[in-house]
Amino acid sequence: MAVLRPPIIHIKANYSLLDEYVIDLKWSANGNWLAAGSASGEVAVIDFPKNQIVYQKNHHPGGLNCITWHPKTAILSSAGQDGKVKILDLSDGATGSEIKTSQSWVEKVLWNPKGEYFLTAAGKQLQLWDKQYLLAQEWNQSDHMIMDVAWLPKGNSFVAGSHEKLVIHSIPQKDLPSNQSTTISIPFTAKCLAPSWDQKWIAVGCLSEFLFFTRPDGTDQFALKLPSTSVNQVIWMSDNLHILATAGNDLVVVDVKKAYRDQPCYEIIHDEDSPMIAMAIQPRKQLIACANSLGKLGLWTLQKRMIPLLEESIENGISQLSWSPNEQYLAVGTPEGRVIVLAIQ
Amino acid sequence: MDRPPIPVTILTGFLGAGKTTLLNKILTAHHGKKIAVIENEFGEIGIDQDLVIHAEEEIFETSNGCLCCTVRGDLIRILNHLLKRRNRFDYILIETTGLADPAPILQTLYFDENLKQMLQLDAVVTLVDCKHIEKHFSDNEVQQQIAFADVILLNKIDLVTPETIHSLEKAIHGINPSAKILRTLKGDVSMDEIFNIGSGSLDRLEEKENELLTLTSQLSLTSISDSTPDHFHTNHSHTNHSHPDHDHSKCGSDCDHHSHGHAHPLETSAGKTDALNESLTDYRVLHNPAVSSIGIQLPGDIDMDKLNDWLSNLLAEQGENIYRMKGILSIADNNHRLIFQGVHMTLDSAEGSEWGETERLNKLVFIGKNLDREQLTNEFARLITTPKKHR
Repeated sequence: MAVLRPPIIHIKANYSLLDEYVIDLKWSANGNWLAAGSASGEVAVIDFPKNQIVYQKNHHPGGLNCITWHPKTAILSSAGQDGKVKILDLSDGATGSEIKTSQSWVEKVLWNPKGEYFLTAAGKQLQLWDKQYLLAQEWNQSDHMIMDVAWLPKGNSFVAGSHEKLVIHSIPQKDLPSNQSTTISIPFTAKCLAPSWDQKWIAVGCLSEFLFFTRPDGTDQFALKLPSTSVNQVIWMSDNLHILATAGNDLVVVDVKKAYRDQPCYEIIHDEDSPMIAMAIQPRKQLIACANSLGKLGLWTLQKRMIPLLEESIENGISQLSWSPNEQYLAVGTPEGRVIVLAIQ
Repeated sequence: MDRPPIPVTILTGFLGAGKTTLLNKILTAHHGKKIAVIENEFGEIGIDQDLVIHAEEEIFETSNGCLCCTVRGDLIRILNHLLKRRNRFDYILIETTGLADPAPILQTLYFDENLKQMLQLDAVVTLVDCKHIEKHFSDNEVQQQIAFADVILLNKIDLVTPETIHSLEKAIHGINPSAKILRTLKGDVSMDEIFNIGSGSLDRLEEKENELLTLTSQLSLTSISDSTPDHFHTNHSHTNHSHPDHDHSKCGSDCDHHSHGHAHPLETSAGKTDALNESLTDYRVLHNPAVSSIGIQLPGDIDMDKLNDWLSNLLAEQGENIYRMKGILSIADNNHRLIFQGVHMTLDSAEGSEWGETERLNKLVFIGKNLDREQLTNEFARLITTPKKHR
């Protein structure tokens, strides 16, 4: 059920957490831990119920690219420009492990939805690691760097996007031949990827001004031209009918069914002042939060069209947004390293 | 909260031209700038800077069907990441590989929406190794690096004769007359000469309107390559030249013998003639005459729709050959100047100041390969709706 009344918002917590720009911000699956990573490589974890900072360390002195939680446990992974992945188990007194994956920047580290494997993407190399942090499989793209990776919701396969190509790889399973891969040619350069929740479509935010859609087997494809180039983020809504994308100063809401039929299909929330820097959607209530780089935070709901619910301003800008799993809190990262938790009622 | 764009300098030059030496001099000079460096290859000489990022050069087309519209995928990621640490630096320097075409880097700055808003090209600085350039002067890569440059540093001048340097300067000027050419020894150059050039700034382009006026005046009569008689004769073939017995009887009245880069005994000091004869290089032979500059200067007002159509067609057909272009235009029914510049098919434009009482004179410069001056001038003239006489 979407929210209809304007929400009440207040600051629940405000942490001076990191030394630089909050580049990633994620809640653990149970909502007890909130982790943040800075552009300088620092990682910090907050025990949210206790309102305590429980971990703070520079994991990647050259710079950090992303952090990710295990989908079921308190294991946090970070990927950096030093070619390493650092793994931290908060349930075990914050013990750490490290794996060296590549000479290149590790752009992404992602656990599969079942929590059996995690995937790293670095340069042209994809590596699949098991729960013991042992290398299970490796794929090397001969031509272009991997721009983004995403697990398909069922968790048995993932998609990697690069220049004019998507490749869907299956993970090793009993009774199935390993190394199953499907290559899908696309007429654009993939910048960000989002498989729909029902796995019927893969949406590709492109380096150019296009949103591209393909079936996972490549049999059906279509493209939608947006007003701005370089799509930064793509998120499917839980209805599998709408998709949100940020590009330049725009947040674009697309009715995918209409887009497929080549009908007028999108609504644009345009910010006059600065690029749309972050976007997050509540998993169930589907309240949409978006922010520009100057610190303007907007809350929206999608009825027949986007309805603005609230506009707030965060001093000195916003860099990241993340909804808590219980949907009551919105964590906001800032360019100066602060993390603010807003309670939304 | 709005911050000015961060200036970006692109440092190009063939392997051994002295890029890393210059880079270290830039980083240790007292200019008060905090510089982030993106280098393409780990050089043998270390870079004395804490914010150095190694790039894995990846060039790809931008999927719009045009082969010349290429961007650097690695740079998009690196620059976007750097911008998140912008408190740590106020300047970005990108060092390219020796063989790099600067165009994909320039187009990267224009193509990505976020980068376009937060970065601005300050200059393309090209280093030329005076001693060894002759082996590569006619190579496409060298011609491109010269054509795209805002500042050209003739390095290692102690290893060649003044006549060779002069000859080289003329040849470079023939390719790119708008570039500032400086002679340097071991990369010694005043930082003021390579910083704060403002090449990507349309405001700065407007400030330099008089320079553009002078340049287009020279180029609108004839292209520099055509008009530099000692190097780029059009009336006789250079294949007839042989050194040092160059036959000047074949030259026309426009032949400027004293500007020749050829080995003329009279131009050399006694006792050094033979050595000079060996060291001098005829860059007019080495120069690929297809790369040149063309200027257009015409009074009157331009029909905006026709301009858009013309540019669309021109860039669709010849975008690959148009390396850089810039201009100040007078648009019909608009009191303001239109300032524009571009790289291949990528264009950036803005409304400038009001014309006021100044003559509404259109000024354009194209630098590129196989440019047809007559065709460009005639086509542009057809865009003018209200022809006016020169003052």
